[in-house]
This record gives sequence, structure tokens and C-alpha cells, in this order.
Amino acid sequence: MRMRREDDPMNTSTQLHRQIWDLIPWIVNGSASATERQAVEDHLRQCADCRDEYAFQSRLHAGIATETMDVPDAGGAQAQAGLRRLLARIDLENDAARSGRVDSGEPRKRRLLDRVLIAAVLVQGIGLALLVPLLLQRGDTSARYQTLTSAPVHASQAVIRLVPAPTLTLAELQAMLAAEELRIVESNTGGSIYGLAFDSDTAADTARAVERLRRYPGILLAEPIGRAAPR
Amino acid sequence: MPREGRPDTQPCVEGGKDPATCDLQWLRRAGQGDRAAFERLYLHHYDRLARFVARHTARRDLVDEIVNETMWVVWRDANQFRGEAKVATWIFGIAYRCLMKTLRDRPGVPESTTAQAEGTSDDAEQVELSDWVRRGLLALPTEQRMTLELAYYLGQSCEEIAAIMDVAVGTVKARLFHARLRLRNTLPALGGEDSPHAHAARG
Repeated sequence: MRMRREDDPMNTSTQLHRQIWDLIPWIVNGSASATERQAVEDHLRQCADCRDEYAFQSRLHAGIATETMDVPDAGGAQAQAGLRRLLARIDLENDAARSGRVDSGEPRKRRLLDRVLIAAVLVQGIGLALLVPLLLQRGDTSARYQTLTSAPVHASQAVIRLVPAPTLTLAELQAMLAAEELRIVESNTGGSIYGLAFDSDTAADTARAVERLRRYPGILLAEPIGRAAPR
Repeated sequence: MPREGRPDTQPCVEGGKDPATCDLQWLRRAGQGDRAAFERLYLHHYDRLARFVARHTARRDLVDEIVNETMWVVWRDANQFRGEAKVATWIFGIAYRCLMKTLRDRPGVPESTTAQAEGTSDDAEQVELSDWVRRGLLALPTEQRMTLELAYYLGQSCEEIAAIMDVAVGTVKARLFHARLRLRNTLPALGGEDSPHAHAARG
């Protein structure tokens, strides 16, 4: 009997009918549980509408499940050919990934270097930003250099600045200092400029000592230090 | 301590073990780079995958392309399989996404065709029934049609279809419900007891 529009289960079904409807596909395709199957079978015995739906779904299932798609030789030569293509693709992509890693090594190093340089510039910038205000606050405008004669007298009491020639030997220097009763009390970093003081400061004449020192052949410069004791 | 039977090292023989167990072993070994295991997994699923995809396109090259795209993802992501569903369900989920992407990207893909039955009148009746059903399926939205095919062509359960389509179980039921309502309208002859198809199907 053909179902009329007004008899459509959608229009007349109760909640139970809807539940049975929801279960029918899984009864038809065999994936429902035994409990679900029993519930549906019990209902179908007393419900003509749902029996009709069950029959409809069974025919639908038969129409779909047995449909033979146009896939010639689907598990044999076609499958083997497809597999060969896929394996070739996998090999190709593996090779590309490996060569990609090798090729990309140098750019990665370059990018790392760039990042380090950028970081260094940023650190310098921050340092300068902090330093400049400190320097301005100090307000010290005095020169950051000093001449040999303007150098302050240190606690060592150097009174003569001496610049020996590089050819002057140590023995000659020692003999000269001993003769003039002088001693080295300070030196610059390279050992090319010395500050001299008298062994005993009593009645020492710096000007005369300077004159005598200037007469030694291996002396390039000998002069009194600016704050030396007045003659 | 070695496990009983050493399932990870013994070759999986289909006739002697549950297909789901074979699938899982092949997939695990494929995840470790075992090509032989992957080849067996590929050949085991090729037929169903190809037939499922072929329901949506008549282009043989496209069927191969989608199947291989699916199995390439399987090879690549074998280690990511968490065992929350059957391996077959996981693979068909990938195939479903590949197929949907292809259908979206290439809207002009020609529809598939059914193979012609040969010989007997029973075959001819079956082809006629299939033809009726196919016409009805073509009138459905893609999601509803896919749901119906997963249930009736591949025999997947409601939960498996939900996993494949990555939707809730309720969504599967709703899609199926609406698909059936629509088919009721587009295939009246199929539902009527006077239909020769009904007699053929009921035997």
C-alpha cells in the first residue's frame, strides 16, 4: 500500500517512533546492538508505519550496498600501481626534506648572526641611553687628558719626569740614577716614561738634577714636574 | 620481558587474526618507518577507499589521487594515531576530508557512473534498483548523501560515522533523518509496495 502524504510518519510519529526511526539504519546495516535490535523488532510488530519505514530503508540499503562502482580491478593491478606512485612520492618528499635541511643550514646561520648583531646594537643603545644622562649630570668639563708637566704629584713625590731613549740599557739607567741619587717612583704602562724622586729630599736641587740628566746621551726628555718643590 | 606471541614482530596474517588487529599492527609498524607494513595496510584498504571515492567522481585519475593523498597522510601521521577509534575509521575520516576538499576545490568534477551488470535478470533488477537509488542520492545535500553512504555502503556504525565526519552522534542521526525524509519524497516508487523494486528486494 502506497503511503499517503497525511500518513507520513514524520507528521504522526511520537517520540517513540522517532527513536525507532533513528535506530532503523543501524538495524539495517547490522551495526546495532542486540538490545537495540530487540527494541526495534518489538516495536515493528505493533507499528505499521515503522514497518513501512523499515522496509523502505532495507530497499535503500540494498540499492546502495550492492551498487557496483566503476572501479576496474580495484585491489589488483590498480592498487599495486597506486602503491608504487605513493612510495615514489614518499621517497621524493623525503629526499626534498633532507636536501631542504642541508640547503637551509646556511641561511639559518645567517639569520642567527643577524639576530645576534641586532641584539648587540640594542644593548649598546640601551647602554648609551643610560650613560649619557650620567655624564651630563656630572658637569665635569675638564679635559680628559694631561700633559707631562701638568700631571699631578702623587704621593710618591716624583719631582722629575724622565723619558729615556729605547737604546738606553738597564745598566746605564741604573748607573745614572745611582749617580744622581734618584729613584724611579712611578711609570707609565709601557715603561717609557718614569717619574723620579730623590733618595733623600733634603736640600735636593731639582733644576740642577734635571740639567745633569739632560746631558746623558740616552735621555730624550728630563724636566721637573710642575708641582715640584720650589727652588 | 618479551610479550606473549610477540605481536609486534610477527607478520600479521589476515586469515588468522582480526582485521582490526592487523590494521593496528601495520599502522604501528608503519609509524616506525616499516614500509612493508605500510604496503599491506595500503593494499588492505585500497579497494574500499577507491570504491567509496568513486561514488563521487567518474574520473579514475581523481580517485587514485584522493586515495593516495589519504594514504600519504596515513603514512605521515601514523605515529599520531591514538587508538580512539578503529584504524579503518581513522583512515576513512582522512579519506572523507580529502574527498570533501577535492569536491570543494573542483566543483565541476563529473559524477560517478555505475558498472553495468551482466547476464541475469536478477542483475538487471539490481542495476535498476541501484539506478533509482543513485538518482535519489544525487538530489541530497553532500553531507546527507555522505552520511547515508557511510552507513549503507560502508556499513559504518553511528559512532564511527560521527568520528569519520568529525561531528556529534546527534548530527549523524539528524542528517540521516533528513536524508530519509527527502528520499521519501524523491523516490516514491521505491517506497511503494506496488513497485517492482520492492518485490525484487524482498525476494
